[in-house]
Amino acid sequence: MSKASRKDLLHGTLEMLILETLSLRELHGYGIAREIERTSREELQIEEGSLYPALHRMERRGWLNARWGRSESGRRAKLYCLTEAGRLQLAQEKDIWTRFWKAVSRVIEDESA
Amino acid sequence: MNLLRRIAKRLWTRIRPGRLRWEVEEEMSFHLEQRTEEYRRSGLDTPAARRRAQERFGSLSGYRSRVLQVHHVSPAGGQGANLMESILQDIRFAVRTLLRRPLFTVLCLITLALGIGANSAIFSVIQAVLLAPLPHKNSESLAVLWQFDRHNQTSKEAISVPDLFDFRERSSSIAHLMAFRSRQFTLTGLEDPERVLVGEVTTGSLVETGFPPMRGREFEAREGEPNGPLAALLRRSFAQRRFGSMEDAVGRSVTLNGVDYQVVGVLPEDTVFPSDQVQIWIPLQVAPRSAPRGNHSILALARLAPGVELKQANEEIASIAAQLEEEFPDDNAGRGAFLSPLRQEVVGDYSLTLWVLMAAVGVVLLIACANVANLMLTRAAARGREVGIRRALGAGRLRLARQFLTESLVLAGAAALLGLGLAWVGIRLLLQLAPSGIPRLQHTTVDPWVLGFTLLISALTGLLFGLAPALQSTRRHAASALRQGGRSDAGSSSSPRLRRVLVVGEVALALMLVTSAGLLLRSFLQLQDVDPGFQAERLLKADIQLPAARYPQDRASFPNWTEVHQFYARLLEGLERLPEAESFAFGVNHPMAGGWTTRFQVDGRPAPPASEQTEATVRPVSPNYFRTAGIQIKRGRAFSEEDRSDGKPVMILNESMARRLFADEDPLGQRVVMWGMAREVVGIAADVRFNGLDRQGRIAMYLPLSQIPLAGGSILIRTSADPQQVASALKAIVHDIDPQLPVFEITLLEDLIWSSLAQPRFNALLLSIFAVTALLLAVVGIFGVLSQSVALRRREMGVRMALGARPGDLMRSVVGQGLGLTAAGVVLGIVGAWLAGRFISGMLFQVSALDPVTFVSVPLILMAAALLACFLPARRAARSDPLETLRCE
Repeated sequence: MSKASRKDLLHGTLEMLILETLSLRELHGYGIAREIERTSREELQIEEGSLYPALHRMERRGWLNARWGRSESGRRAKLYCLTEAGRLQLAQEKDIWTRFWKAVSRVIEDESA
Repeated sequence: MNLLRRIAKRLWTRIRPGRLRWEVEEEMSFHLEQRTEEYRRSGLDTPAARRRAQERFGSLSGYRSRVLQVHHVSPAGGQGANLMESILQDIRFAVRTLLRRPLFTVLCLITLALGIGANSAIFSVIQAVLLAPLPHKNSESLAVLWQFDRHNQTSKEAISVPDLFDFRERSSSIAHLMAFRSRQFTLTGLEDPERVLVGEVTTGSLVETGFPPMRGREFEAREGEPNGPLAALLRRSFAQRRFGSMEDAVGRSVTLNGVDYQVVGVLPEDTVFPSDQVQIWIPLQVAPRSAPRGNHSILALARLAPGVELKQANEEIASIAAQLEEEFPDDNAGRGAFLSPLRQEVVGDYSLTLWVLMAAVGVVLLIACANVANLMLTRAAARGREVGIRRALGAGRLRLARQFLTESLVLAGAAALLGLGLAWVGIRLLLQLAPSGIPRLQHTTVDPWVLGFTLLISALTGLLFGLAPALQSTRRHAASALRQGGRSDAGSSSSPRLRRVLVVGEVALALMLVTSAGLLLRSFLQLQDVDPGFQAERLLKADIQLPAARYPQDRASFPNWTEVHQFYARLLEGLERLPEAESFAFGVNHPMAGGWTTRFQVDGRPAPPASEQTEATVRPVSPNYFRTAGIQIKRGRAFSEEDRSDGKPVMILNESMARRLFADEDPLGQRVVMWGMAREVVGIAADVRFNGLDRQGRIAMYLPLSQIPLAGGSILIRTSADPQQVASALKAIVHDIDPQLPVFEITLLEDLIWSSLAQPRFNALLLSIFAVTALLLAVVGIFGVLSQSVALRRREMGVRMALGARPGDLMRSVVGQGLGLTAAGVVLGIVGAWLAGRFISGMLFQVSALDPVTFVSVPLILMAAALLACFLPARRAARSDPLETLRCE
């Protein structure tokens, strides 16, 4: 995957990936990066720094709550979790994405059929 | 609810953008550290892991500004209104950092708190004794008028009454010239007679000095005239004790030396004119013209006219004194006069001592600073990585330096709080230890000035020990710090150099202090070994004073003083029946009392010109005096019962006087004229240090008590029994003869000598405590630097071991380094000690400020202590394991 396309993909979907990752538990930025990496089986390698503007943007919109806590190693870390608004947003985005994905697959299947 | 929170949060970021900036940095560095750690675990070395982590993260500063843009916060550091904000944040960060290393923090805190506490304690004494304004009204324009005598080389003498009036009339620079003296009087009319200190003052002087009566009135002019009405003012506490209340006191009377004085008023408790010990004030009744000009018996306090400087006034006083010299050559030849500021009179003797102590604790604090700076430098080296990340995140050098300084100041602030607590304890300790007689010492407290001083020195301390690490840690390049990564011992080469400089300074300061303490200690030991000229052990002394009202003492009728003779005869009888008294004697002065002086002349020699006359002390004593006091008769004989009032007039000279008068002749059989009577010299007595162990006694004439018209003085008893028991037996004897006669100041002469040593003992003790502290701190400093250096050179030493160096070689190298540092400090310190010695030379007794014993032994002690400090690091170096050190990398 070229750098440009990776960026495009992230632009639309990074926020959704973050919301999805946080839907199960509270995590710090580094944890989110690792989780995305793991669940995507290393397919999606984001430039990790870009997580932070996204996290702050989402926190500001009210989708995320953040607090300072401790990491597993006992170091101070900023931990994020989903708010109600965040859950709603995740549902909506998932819906849009699924519909978009279905539409796209239908087109592809049609073409291939 | 959620909306409210978000609004609040946005507002918060608006108000405190600095906090956000800092949080973002913290968040991102956490990420980087975690990723680096992960790569390291997978087998990369630290620099490579760090590089990979950074590549994966992307541009640190770029993402940081993008996050800040989300919050509409500019990426630049805090400025203006945000400065306060970012300072607060620095403080919080500093506190957290310090808490993360409790051992380090506690070590620094204790060191600094001790230093700051000691400084605050000594300063609070200086504040109370030297700096606080005197309680007198406009005390700056008050000065004591002293006379002096060029021929007797006295520097401060009381003034004579006619001279006082002449100065008062002729001087235009003195607005008021007040006279006073304080004396012990016997107060009767109570169950037990008491001795009280009475202040005799000229009328109007209490109001003029700022102590108007709180009840009743000041003395009126007629009460100050000879044979005027006898009036008294009482100290508030005395009035309450004697009469129950202040109101009841006014109008009553007190009996002093058998004479009634009417109480006209009560003075406030804080009255300090002429002293805070005076209980009763009476008017000084003097006749200006009939009093003898040669009798210097009163003290004078001058109020300078408005706008007149002391220097100006002193010129005028000197010229008036010169006029008096010409007009009254018999009494005033060689007599000058000068004004000395009241403040200097009150605290003069103690100011050198206190400033020396202040300088000493200042040095201790400096050493403490150097030690903490050293600790901080070690820390700073270990924190290289943290600094590197923060710089990569765009923190400027200034910003980082500020962060480090904040940490130092927070540390110093906490130490100041602790130090104040220690000071509070220290002040109590000082008050316990301090010799009595330091004026105003009891007013020592932690007042706002002391608080301010503590704050100031803490801030200075923080800057002092914080500056070096701050500059040091920010100087290294960010990139190089990152490259060096986690290796905590990879301090740049300049850090150890700075640390060595600090240690050399520490050693030098410690040497200065230990040398000064050594000089004072030796001086004190010398003083203790001085032979006072008599045997003070087991010698009890008690004073009595026969009041003229009941024991007529008219000079004209001497020696027919029936009442006085009767009293002495009965006292003698009583003492002879006292089994505890091995021997006893009377003397107008006991051996440690200076006594007064008079002129004299050798019979048959022409009278020396007035300008060359000297005076000798007069010491009337009973026949047993020399034996009882243990004063050796060097030649001739002591007095005996044969030397009666109607017998041949005789005297005994002390050795100094015999030498002075009869250098080549035999003094025995010579005649000396004093008080208009020629007396034959029958003996020579050993010199006694009447005025204290540190001063040579004056020339002295002993006279038989029976031949001198004086009533009262000291009873001396040599006894092996319990002094308390003897004292009460003596009181009972006197009470039997005269129930109205108090026996006072009963004390052992050895106790008197001991308390006369209180001041030098206090100086030596305190300075020694500070010196030992300084020495310990310096040793810790040397130890720290060597340990650090050994840690840094571990690889080098490992390699050397691998190449065949023996443990002994490595040990020698470490010890050599330690002793080298110490030697450099010692050389510098000797120069400092030389300067310090000149500063304290006024406090030394028979010890040179360059005393060779001290100047040789102290550097040796310091070198020995340094050797001790080298021991552990050297042993660690010798145990360097080549394999282990290589594995470390």
